[in-house]
Amino acid sequence: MTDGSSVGGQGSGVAGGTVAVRIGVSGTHTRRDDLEALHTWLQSAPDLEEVREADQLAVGREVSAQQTEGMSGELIQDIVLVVSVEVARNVIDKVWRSVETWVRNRRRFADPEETPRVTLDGPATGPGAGLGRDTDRDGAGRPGGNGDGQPGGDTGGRPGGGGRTRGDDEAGEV
Amino acid sequence: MPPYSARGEEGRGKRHRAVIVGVAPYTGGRNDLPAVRHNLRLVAEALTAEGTGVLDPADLVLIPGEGEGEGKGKGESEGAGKTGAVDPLQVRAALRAARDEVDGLLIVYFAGHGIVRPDGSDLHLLFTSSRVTRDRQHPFVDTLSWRDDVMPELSKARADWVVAILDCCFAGNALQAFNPAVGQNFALLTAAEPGVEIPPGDPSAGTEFTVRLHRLLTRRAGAGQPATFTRLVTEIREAMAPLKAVDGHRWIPEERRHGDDVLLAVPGGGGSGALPAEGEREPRPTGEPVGAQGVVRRPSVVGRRWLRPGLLGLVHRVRRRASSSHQPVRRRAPSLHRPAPGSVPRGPRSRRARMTALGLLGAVVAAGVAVLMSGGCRAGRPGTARPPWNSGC
Repeated sequence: MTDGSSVGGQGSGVAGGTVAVRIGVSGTHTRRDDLEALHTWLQSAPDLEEVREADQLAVGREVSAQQTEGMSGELIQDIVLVVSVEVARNVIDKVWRSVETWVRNRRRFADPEETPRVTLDGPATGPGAGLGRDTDRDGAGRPGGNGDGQPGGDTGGRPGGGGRTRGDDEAGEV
Repeated sequence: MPPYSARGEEGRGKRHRAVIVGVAPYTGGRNDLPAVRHNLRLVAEALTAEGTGVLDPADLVLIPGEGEGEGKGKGESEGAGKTGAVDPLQVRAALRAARDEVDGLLIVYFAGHGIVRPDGSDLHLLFTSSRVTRDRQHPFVDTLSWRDDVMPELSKARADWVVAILDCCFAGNALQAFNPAVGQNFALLTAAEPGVEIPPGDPSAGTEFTVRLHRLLTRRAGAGQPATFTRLVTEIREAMAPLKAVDGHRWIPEERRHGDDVLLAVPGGGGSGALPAEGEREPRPTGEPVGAQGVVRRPSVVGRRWLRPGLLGLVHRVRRRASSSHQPVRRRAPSLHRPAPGSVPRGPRSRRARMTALGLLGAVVAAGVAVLMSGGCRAGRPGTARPPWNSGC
């Protein structure tokens, strides 16, 4: 599935029953660029690449569900993932891990006024219900966060998978 | 085709070097990385270990240098005055010198913080005073871009082989900008896949990746297991498999290679023939500075034997048998070198064995003369990466 194309529902290239989830970026001055950057990030994530090659995942972009006719200005888009139902939870977990890492890295470039946030919205009912995530609510992507909803911090990480990182653990500098 | 070896014929007389960079102290709000101080020692030790190392201590360029890496980090003076501080210009100068001066094996290792742009491109290596600003086009200050600074330098290197090892967050994103020159032998090993951050390691031992790298390079028990780059990749992936990176990502070291293969450790003598099991703690020599031996070492007998193929190797083996048979007669000065781990001390040989060896030597020399007179063997061209036996011998 190529950049900017529609991936909704059937005909997405994903075999069998599918579920579509939307990923939105907010809290930045460069929402459009950030969505594009996150899209690129997800497209190049090695573990997601394997799922895509197995035709279990398609990644694209569509007009945001938040976009209304009354809104002026630039078009708001969402990333749309179409996932095979059988592997949906597993794949969304992988996607969310990449999202967490992306948000933490993005926050290193953030203005003081920016609070980068990513949300993942799944269907309210049926297959895929309960897949929703939010970096603010779930604690993911906070500087030093470990993705388990546990505060990370700068010390005390667990060797071999702890919460501390070797990126740059501060928000954007002036 | 045999892997390139700095200890082999193709590396003899050439200048080899390892530029080993470890950034432990950071200014601003960035975490210090105390584990990286151990990494410097581990990498230096792995590359120069008695019996298995492919380099001599004199081939190492440590940044920060010995004695500079003992700083306590935060709470001390900031920036360049910080003990153990590393400046990107210092690293760039070292890379440039290596690019121009090394004509054998060049190894470049970096451990520290790494950061990428929001779309995952353009990995930047962070140094003590590095900053990330709000400038959207040029946010990085006092950093080195793998794509724009490091890779272009290394792609111009004259070395027979360049091996780069990155142990930092987003190290795998360097693979996007792996651009060796045409025909250049270049291998890149990254601690993890693209888009993956890794934990800072054990402050008392080193980072997870480098600790395992050290173990794999130094414990080459058994003569049949040279640490070629390709074999090392397989082994370190296995060693890292039980671990998870930050955010629960799988932890898989990645690689790119341009060229055949290169030896990063020679097989040590003796041993069980098996690599250490996962979880086995690496014994750490304490209080011994890197390169403290101060002597130029020779590779182990086993390693040298493995490196010599064909007729030349046979001649050397026979010579060695002959010379070892003289040992009980010829008193040798006590050696300053430590014996290779697990090596078997040479014992007295019988007169019969000595005569047999001398007879064999004579026969082989005669055969060698005949081959040379027939013009059947071409020497390798100076400055080429190919050993003579790859040139048609």
